Amino acid sequence: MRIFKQWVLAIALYLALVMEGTLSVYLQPALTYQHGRAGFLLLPIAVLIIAYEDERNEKEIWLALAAGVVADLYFWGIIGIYTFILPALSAFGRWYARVFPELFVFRLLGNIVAITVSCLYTWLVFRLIGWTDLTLKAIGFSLLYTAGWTTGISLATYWLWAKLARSYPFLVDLDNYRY
Amino acid sequence: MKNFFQNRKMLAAFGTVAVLAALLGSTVMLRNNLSAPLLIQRLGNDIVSVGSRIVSVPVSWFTDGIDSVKDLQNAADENSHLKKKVDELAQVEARNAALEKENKQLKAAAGIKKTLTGYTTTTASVISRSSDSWSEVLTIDKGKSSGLKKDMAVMSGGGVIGRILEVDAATSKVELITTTDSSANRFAAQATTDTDKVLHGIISVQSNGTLTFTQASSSSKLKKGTKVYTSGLGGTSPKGLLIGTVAETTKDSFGLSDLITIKPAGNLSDASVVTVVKRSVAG
Repeated sequence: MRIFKQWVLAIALYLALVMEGTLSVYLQPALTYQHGRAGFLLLPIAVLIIAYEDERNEKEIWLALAAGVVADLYFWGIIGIYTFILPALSAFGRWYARVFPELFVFRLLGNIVAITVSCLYTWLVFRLIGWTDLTLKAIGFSLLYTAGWTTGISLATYWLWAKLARSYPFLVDLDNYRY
Repeated sequence: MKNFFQNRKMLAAFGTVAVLAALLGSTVMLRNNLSAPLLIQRLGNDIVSVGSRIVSVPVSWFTDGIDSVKDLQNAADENSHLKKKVDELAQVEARNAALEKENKQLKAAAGIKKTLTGYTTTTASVISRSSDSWSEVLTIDKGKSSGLKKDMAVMSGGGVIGRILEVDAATSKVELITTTDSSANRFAAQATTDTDKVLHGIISVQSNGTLTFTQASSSSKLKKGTKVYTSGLGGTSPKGLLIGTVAETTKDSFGLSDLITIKPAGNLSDASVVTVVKRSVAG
């Protein structure tokens, strides 16, 4: 049970990865607008919130890296998108939590900025490998729409991820710190 | 230069970018060239797909429930429309059976065993979709164990929506026809003009995701509403799968050749069940 508690966050991230793909199928009509689509980025938002709430746990960057490799292979069959984004978001989240006030509004702003930058990185990689030929100007509305969805997902899931990160930090046995 | 090598942060950043570029380059090359993914990738994909299958069951129940309520609201109109169609159906079925029998007899007389129009189908559920805004990749719950192979055509909602990109043991990835990936395989297509002339070409995609019929083999005009089918050329998809209808014909940005825009027949935005088409004649 003690070992299981240390891995709860990893299992939760696996479920977030599964839910991200599944909900992207069923929410597709709502995610799509006339000339584009919003990203449904459940996993990156989860990694960010975990990093805010458990900013002293350096092991979480390895969890983010592992989740990134699995997600990359599952969604796209290449390595280099989430493999970079998730550890970078984990590092950013830990820095952000130390520098900015512990207020939900600041965390929400952090999520929107970090996810927008992540989307720009994804677009840049896709441009480099020839998967898209959209210009930076053409993706503007898509980024805005994704920011809207990011706000919604953050509002809906912040409490859950915060609770998990505080109660079950990755590879930390909290029983050692009790009494 | 000496300062650069003494700055550990700069070195780490440079190393990260180099490793990332190498990983990206090598995995993109493997994805495009390998007929089947590496064992480690297949294993990872199958582990995640187990979770996806479990989660997609209750989620689909929920969304199907919502769809059922919507369908109920349209039931009366749909019922009267279907009644008219049912009246015509018996006649179409009888004619179809007669033509099929005649076709078989003619093929036997000519000594033809298999043609480009012959195919079998496998139905699969969509269990996942890439979550970003720009790639067009679906994951379906059938794979190598169901006889699926790379590049097979995939249909949904009455038209072609894409082709198989990668086959794992129990799942496969489908690349949608609207992908702007410059390395993606394209469908060879054909359409018939008013003067019964058959135009051959390929299906391409504009940067805004619009489908176009390009490299048409003749300068004959295609009217709005003309149906565009797969031609069976190219070796992987059978002949006669509906891709879409001609929406409009304009000139390309250089004003030299026709740009024929296609309205896709398949359900690209809300495909939860798909049909994989296996061609009878080997490519």
